[in-house]
Amino acid sequence: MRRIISLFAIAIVALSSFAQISIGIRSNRFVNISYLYKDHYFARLEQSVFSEKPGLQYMRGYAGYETHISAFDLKGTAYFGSTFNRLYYSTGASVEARIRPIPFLIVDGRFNPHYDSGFGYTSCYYGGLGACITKHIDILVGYTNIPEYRMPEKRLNMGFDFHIKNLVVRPKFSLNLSSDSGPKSLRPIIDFEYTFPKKSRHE
Amino acid sequence: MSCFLSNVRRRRNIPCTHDAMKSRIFRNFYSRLFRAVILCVFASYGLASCDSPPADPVINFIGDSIIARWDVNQDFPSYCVYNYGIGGSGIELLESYAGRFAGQDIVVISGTNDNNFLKEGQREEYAEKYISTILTLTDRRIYLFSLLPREFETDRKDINKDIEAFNAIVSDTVKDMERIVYIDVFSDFIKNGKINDAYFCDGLHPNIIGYEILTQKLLKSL
Repeated sequence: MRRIISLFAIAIVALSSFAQISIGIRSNRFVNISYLYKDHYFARLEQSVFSEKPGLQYMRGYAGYETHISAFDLKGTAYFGSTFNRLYYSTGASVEARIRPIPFLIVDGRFNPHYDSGFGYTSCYYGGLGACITKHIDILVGYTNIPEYRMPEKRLNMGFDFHIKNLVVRPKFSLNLSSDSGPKSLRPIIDFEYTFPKKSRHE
Repeated sequence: MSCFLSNVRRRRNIPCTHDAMKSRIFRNFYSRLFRAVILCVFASYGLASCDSPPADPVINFIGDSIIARWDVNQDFPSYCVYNYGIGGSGIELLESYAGRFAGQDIVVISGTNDNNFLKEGQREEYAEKYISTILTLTDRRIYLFSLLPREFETDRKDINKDIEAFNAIVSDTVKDMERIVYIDVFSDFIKNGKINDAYFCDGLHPNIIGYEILTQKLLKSL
């Protein structure tokens, strides 16, 4: 597994000359770097920043394709990740579609079959609605069981999407709705992504 | 070198200035050097010999509202964790789970809601029943937290003395038991003889900082 992730990372670095680069944070605790090639093919490398020993840190690689067909924004992704000490690994795929049926309304859906070596297979999903408040601010509400960390949990997400030029910031609250597991915890979560301007070929 | 550079200039239609060329050469050199270093780091990571991976334990959290309010998925993101805490519960909850977690590790915080049994005269009998009940939960490792101090609005004045005395009995009893890892956090939540308000949200339940203390204590033991 370590070799697979290394090969993936090496491929990303080697091809970085030809790609558009983004950096970001997911769910407060995962930093990532992404490469978008020819506006469609993308790869991302994600690294956890947990307050735990280095062996328990988690690294995940994504690869996928995104496109725009008719009114739909479509994205297909495959991923694989593991802790450094191989305590567990997780893998899966994700198919995501987003549409704006009317200019100020966003409908978002995702299906994510997910496998974890510890607790097996889970069919994960996300369904959300959003509204455009201004040109640069959307408000989003979604229901999901896609794991924010390791364990799948049924959660309600409510937050904002601030996007201006190359920067996207998504602060949200995530509320646990699971009836079979403990606390009705409310988590403040922030995602952000910054895309570096594309280099021209003559630079 | 000059022939190579002139060919580069022709292919890229770049106007020829000596200073611009030198600057571009140095930028390309450092860019390639940086990428080479990153490649070496990832290559060494991938080629490093791998020891056998550790076992991936399932950890179950059982107890009262202190467990129920603990966001264990966020605080233990690398572990397979389940939270079975129920607010207001006591030893009867532990008894109902007897044998349920065979083959799995458990974390227990329970007893604060049975604090009437912590008074002198009943303390030893309750402690014996408490430990024997906990031992029936699993045949694997038990991470047992001490009771936390409290100053809830309806608490009696000497409750923390009773809690401290109960913790001492339990600690003394389980110290030779291999399966039980006793985690004493009572003193971490006490300041100048009273509870440290900075770690509690209502005198009974820990706040975010209090849970961070519990998390770090447990991570050291795991």
